[in-house]
Amino acid sequence: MSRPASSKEAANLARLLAEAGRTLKFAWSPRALAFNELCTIEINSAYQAPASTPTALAERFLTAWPLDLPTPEIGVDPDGEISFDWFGGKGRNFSVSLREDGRIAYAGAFGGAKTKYGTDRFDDAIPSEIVEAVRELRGKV
Amino acid sequence: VSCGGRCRSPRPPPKIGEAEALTRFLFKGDFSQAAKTVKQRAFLPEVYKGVPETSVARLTHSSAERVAHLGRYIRHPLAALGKTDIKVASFGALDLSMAAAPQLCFGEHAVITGWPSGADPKAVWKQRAALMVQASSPVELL
Repeated sequence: MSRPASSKEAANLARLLAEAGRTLKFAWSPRALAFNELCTIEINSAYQAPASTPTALAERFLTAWPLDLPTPEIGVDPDGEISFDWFGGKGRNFSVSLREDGRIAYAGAFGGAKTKYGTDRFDDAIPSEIVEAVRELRGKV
Repeated sequence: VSCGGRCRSPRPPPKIGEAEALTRFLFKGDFSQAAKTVKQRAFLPEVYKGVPETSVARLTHSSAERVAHLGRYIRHPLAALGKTDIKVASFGALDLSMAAAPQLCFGEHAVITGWPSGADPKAVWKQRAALMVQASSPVELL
């Protein structure tokens, strides 16, 4: 996971990233609403979640998510993992679950018996399989 | 709801028929209001006595009033906000099994079992849930 920047260039990059993050969070957009939903989950989890909910990690996932792709719906799985859901037509769907140690479990159904699923790690970059799956779901391949 | 075997002639629940549909009650966060579609998390199993299972209702022949009543009390104090149905016939492609719950004189409950096990089965569970989402009816608000 990321560490504090040490060089001048890295510190500058961190500042630019923070500015971009603020723009994403406070603009009036679907992405800003998703950040808001994460905030609500974090507040609720402080009172009722059985395990710690990885909202900080989920915020980084949302920040890393490509801007040209649709913003996911945010939720919490029964086991406390944060879920990101996308929907296509005719019941097609794709979902990512993020655990607090950075493990990602993803799966989707793309019509008929066609599915994709697997596990990966989130290290501040979205695995390409996930980006491609959402593009396919939205018919952008 | 079950008699627990105390009534005069306790009956096991009837076997699940091919023509039935299984209903999953939906709570806050279980479905997308925008897409009017259930989410995978609604079908993910919970581990009960070491066995992962998803609880469903058998309401094919129930009245609308009965469905609404069960939705209000099945997870009291939480009330279901909606429901979705999956035809039993579509389970063949899911590689999951289903069983009528064993409570005597209570034929309205069933469980979906056969969820794969392993060190970290979450992705496989989500794959099954993704297919269930695809096979389920549009969300009906209660």
